[in-house]
Amino acid sequence: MSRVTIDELTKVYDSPSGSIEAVDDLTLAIDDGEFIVFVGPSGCGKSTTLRCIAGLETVTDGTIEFGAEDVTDQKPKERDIAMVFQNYALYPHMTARKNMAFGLKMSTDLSEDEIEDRVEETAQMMGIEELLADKPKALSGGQQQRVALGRAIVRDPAVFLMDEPLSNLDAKLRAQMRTELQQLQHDLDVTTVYVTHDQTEAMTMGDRIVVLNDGELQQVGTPLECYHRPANRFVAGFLGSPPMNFLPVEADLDAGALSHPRFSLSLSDSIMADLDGTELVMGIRPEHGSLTTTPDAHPEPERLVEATVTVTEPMGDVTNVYLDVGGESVTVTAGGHLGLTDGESVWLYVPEAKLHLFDAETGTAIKHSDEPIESTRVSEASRYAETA
Amino acid sequence: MIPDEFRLTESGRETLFNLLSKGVLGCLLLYALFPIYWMILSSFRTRAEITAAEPSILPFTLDEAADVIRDPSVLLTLLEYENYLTMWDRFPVFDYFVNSLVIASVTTVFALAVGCLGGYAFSRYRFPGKIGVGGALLGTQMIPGILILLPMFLLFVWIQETLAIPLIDTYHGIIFVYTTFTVPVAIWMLRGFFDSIPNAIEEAARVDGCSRFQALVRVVLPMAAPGIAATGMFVFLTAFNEVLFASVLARGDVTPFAIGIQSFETQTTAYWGEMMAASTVATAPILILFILFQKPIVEGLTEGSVKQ
Repeated sequence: MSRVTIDELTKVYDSPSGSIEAVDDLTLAIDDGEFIVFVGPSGCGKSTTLRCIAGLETVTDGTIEFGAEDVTDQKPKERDIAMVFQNYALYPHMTARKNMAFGLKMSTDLSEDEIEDRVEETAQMMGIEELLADKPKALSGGQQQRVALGRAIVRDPAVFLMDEPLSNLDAKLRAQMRTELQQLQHDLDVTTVYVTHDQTEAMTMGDRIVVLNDGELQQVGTPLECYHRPANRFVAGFLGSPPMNFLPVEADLDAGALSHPRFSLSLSDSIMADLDGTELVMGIRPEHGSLTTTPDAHPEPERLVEATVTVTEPMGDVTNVYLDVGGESVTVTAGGHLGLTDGESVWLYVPEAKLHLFDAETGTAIKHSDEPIESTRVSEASRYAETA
Repeated sequence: MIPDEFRLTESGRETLFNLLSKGVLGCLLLYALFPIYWMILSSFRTRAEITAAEPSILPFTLDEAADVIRDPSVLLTLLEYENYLTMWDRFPVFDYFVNSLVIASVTTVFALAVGCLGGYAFSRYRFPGKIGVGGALLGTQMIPGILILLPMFLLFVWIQETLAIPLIDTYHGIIFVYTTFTVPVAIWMLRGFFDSIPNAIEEAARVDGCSRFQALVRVVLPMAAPGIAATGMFVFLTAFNEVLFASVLARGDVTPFAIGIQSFETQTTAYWGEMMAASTVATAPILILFILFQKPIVEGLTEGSVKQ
């Protein structure tokens, strides 16, 4: 177990067509025993950062420390890490047992018997005792995944590194392994760095998530923090499915409202007072919008926005409604079956408290929704119960 | 225009194609195997039979064949296996064979050792001049051997005279020559096999506590085993079959089989029967080796060409 400190990490790749800055000045402290998830689109630098922590890539600038030890220039084998790869990277010429024993054989002085005991013990924990004599080729994808995880766990490392370990599994197995991995990490209490492009994994698994884009750190925080208090427009748009709706608006300070060619939305003075620019982007989470077909009956008819239904997607529990608001698409997730038809006129209502506002130029967040975010730790137990 | 009733259906066309392709393949196979058949057949014949104006293509007459079917032990009396007994006394067949084996085996070991390291470097590392060196290696294969035979001979003579290192008619001399010829091919072949091994597996090994070299030896090389077997077989056969350079640079005590066999044709007589018997004996171990390793070699030859 170990605290991982990344200080001003920069990684530049030289290529014939010029140099590419894969990671740009990343500073981050990962607590001992923490499950941290790096998330971002392809090429955002998340895998490169992980590989730098593993020692598989040389660092251009900055330092990486495990505990108090500077490991920046250490070889992977000197770092006391275990890694799970996207395609599992099992040794095809070895049985599952040998795959798991290999790391202990190469990196420890344990006797054959001790290694054997530890492999058995881990295999039992992972439920793969029957597979130990098989070679990877004879195993299914899910079984290979388990062996690959077992190979990492048996090492009892200071830090676990996982590079999109679930992305090759089918959806059902992925959901199951997601829960199982969380449980395992919780039980083992080993510092874990997990890389994914899947925002569901990021939201559900991490104690904290690290959102990266273009090699730059966007935000570090608990999943709910990043979801409800996004630092900028990128984070807001990246987390959540369907994603947050963005509408360009202008702040009309005299009228105390946000104006859009198709509508005007009056805001409280306290919010208007905090705005410094006038060019803004309004963000609405799909689940925060509600629809009505009878605007006159609404308690706040002056704050309704007229829209046209373009497509409805009934998902069973909820329905995704795609709206056209003055030529721009807005998605609203509404409960149950609405009975809306395509082309129908509806009125969209967004409570002021749930609105997000961003600076149009820099994308920096100006106002967040007031959703509570403090409950992550408390809800952890119930989250397991719910998904198990 | 072909009337509709004569037009082939889809399945009919397929059958026809199958028959034709099998026919062509059969002819090619016959063409390739006939010399081997003739070698074995002739090794069991007397000189009179071999040099007959119209030698029989079949080993037996029909009557003889009928006798063999009735009583298989008759076969022993029909076979003329004297060639297999006399060849050892008349010529140092065994020495030739051992020479070939030593030269080909040691060449294979050297070529594979250099080829594995070189192929790995080309596959995994970026270094200045990579494309140039890679191209130059391939380029060596474009030069006909006959062009460098004489320069090579003169070089050997020069080394022998100035550095007092004997090279002509020595094992190490000819092994050196064969190694230089086969290393470029070995590097290129093995590079392809290494390319097909995912980097992540090697990285897993390095995280698991291996140095780069340990990862190569413990994980990459075992995974490339089919490719190494195929490359090794190629190098071995190249060295075993080579005649041109051996005829100039490997005479005397190190004469390999390919050269030694020519001595069966003396100024006065050609000992065809013995020659064929010796050839059969020399071919057998290679053939057995090839059959044993056939599966990994075929896998090796096709692997790397297809991205998995």
